[in-house]
Amino acid sequence: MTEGEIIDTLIRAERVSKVYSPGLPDQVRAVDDVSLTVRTGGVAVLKGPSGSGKTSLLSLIACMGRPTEGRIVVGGKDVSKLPERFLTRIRRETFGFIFQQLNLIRDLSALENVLLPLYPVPMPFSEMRRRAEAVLASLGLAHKSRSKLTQLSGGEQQRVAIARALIHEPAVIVADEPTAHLDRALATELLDILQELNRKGKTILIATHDPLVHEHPFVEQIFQMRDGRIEDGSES
Amino acid sequence: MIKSKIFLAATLLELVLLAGFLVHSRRVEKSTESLRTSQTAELVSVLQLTDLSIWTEARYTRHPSQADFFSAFQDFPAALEHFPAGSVVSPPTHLWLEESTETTTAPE
Amino acid sequence: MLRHFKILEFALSSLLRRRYKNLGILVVYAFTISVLASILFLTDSLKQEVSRVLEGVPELIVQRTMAGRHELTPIQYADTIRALPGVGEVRPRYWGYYYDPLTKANYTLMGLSSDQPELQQLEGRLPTASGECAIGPGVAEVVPAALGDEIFLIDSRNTGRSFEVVGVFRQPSNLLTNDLVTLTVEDVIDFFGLPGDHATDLAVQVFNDNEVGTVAAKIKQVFPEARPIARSELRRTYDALFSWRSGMMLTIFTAAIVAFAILAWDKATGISAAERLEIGILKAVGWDTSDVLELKFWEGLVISVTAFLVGVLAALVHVFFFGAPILARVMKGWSVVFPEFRLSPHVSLYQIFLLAFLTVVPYVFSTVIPSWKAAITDPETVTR
Repeated sequence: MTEGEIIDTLIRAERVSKVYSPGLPDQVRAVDDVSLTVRTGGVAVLKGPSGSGKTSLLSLIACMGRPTEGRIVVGGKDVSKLPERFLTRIRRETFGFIFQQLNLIRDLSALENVLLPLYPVPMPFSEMRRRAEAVLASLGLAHKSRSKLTQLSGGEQQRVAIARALIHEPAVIVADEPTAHLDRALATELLDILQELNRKGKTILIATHDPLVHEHPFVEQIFQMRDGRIEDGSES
Repeated sequence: MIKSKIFLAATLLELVLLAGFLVHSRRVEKSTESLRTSQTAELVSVLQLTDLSIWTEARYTRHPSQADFFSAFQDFPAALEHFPAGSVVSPPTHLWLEESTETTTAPE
Repeated sequence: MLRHFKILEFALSSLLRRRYKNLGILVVYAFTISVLASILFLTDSLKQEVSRVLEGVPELIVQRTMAGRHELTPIQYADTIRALPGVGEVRPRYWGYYYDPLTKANYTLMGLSSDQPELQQLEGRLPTASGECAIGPGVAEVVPAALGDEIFLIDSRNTGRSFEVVGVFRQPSNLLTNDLVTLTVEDVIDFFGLPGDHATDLAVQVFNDNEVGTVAAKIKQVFPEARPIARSELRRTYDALFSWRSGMMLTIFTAAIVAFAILAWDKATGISAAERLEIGILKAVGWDTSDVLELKFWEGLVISVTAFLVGVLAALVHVFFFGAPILARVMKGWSVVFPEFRLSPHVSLYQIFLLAFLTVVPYVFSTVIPSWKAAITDPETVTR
């Protein structure tokens, strides 16, 4: 890698492996010796069937867990061995995660769901509210901010999940199978939002087996995964 | 942040009420204590009382300090308690406690 | 500081989201605490009354027993006892129990000599002549009778006797006088058919408190069938009565503890899948372990502190403003004559703190600990 390339790299995984339930009968090597880099402002896709380790790798990169072997470098910092407090901070400030199941809290309103990540930070409540409402407005949900989640459509809930991921103004948006429960129209709408975010400078990382996603023109890198390994990492 | 404000205000109010009661009770106690004590002492010494007049169901509940073995077991030795207050009132300590006058009497 | 307030705010929102469940817990919890606190306050106040009473009680009461049963005491014991060194006055006491078939109540009949001073807690006067009586407020209520009225009692010869009420003890003295009917000594002896040379027991004055044991031992030596009861034993009896190990405290205490244990068990046996998911989501969006634990801490603290304060305040009102009517009903048993509790407010700070500690700490623990495992787990499990 050239110096320019090193500076430009936001995410780097070096020979990362993840073993769940080590030493137990149900031991699983979900990620096996994976290395990849993603540049700042890039759009990368982890492609593969279910069970290929894409979700696990995504979680590791987004600092949701620590790798069993290898290291992950984010913005020049090795996050693999960081104490929990620092890892949490990096996760919170650098990554906005959109889950496959959305993982919104059902009894809360759209606004309350979006506010969730801001509670632990030293920001006054009024400022939290202002930010959350602004993000929801940018996604066309200003009029639905007080609605309970159960009153929102699937697509609207998806946008609430995106808003929550954006609230900290993270550098990286991470999405795990974002189109899994969406119809084609909504899936296209989602990809448009992600493309727009990328245009604003955000790095996008998506795990998917949906061709609608990995064949989208804004995707720069595709990492084909199978059985926890990268079979083929190519620039598109 | 209104919920936390309401909660803290309500808790503070409750604490103030509790503190207020404590202060008030100390004050009342101080002012009435000597009067109550003197009036009680007067009654007790003139009437030669030994027990509070609370449970009037049975002899051993009315005068717990004066009770003998028989009154509680008046039906037969292993009689079950049938007065509700009897299960609340414990027998006088001198009947069962080791350091009573009876057992610590020094033989001359 | 701001962070703590925000997490508290979120905790309150969480509690309100399951408002009926949490309200139920709060009510049950507050009720349990108010019962416990009521008992503590009541018994503590009664203990205070007892210690006041014991100031004036005779140093020794000498009873006579036969086959373990209380028997009348010959009056000539008094002469012998009076001659013992350290002994002052020895007064025979004449008293007994009377069952009134009309009211189905038990009274304590006491005989008093005529030369008695005026009593502040007596409206009217003590009986000085035959056919007169002074009654306690409980008797006055149950008969019913007032100053100037007559009460009818049936003596040991099955003859109806009427006594004019010349005195009624005032309500504030009810803990001592509630069921009393005082007559002259002659009337009591005649009423019960007591043999002329016997009294119920003897009240013995001992000048030096330290010599009470010695005097008691001497009395036992001279009269083997006598049972002397010292003032200190009276105190111990009532201490035991009102201590937490006695029947009253223990019964209700145990019930309350069991109720509370069920509550804590329900919480402590683990959190639901929904709660676990919620903690996972919080961690995934950037809450760290200490934030999550603080959230659970606030949830536990809000419920337990509120329940404690509401419970204690309710108990104070119940005991000191209303005279503990609910507890009284439980305690009353079959007593027809039972005093209305009018206790001077007395609360020990130590008890309040102890109660607070015992109620708040376990509940907070039982809220935080089950969430511990979920709180320390890496959020990636949420994504799996």
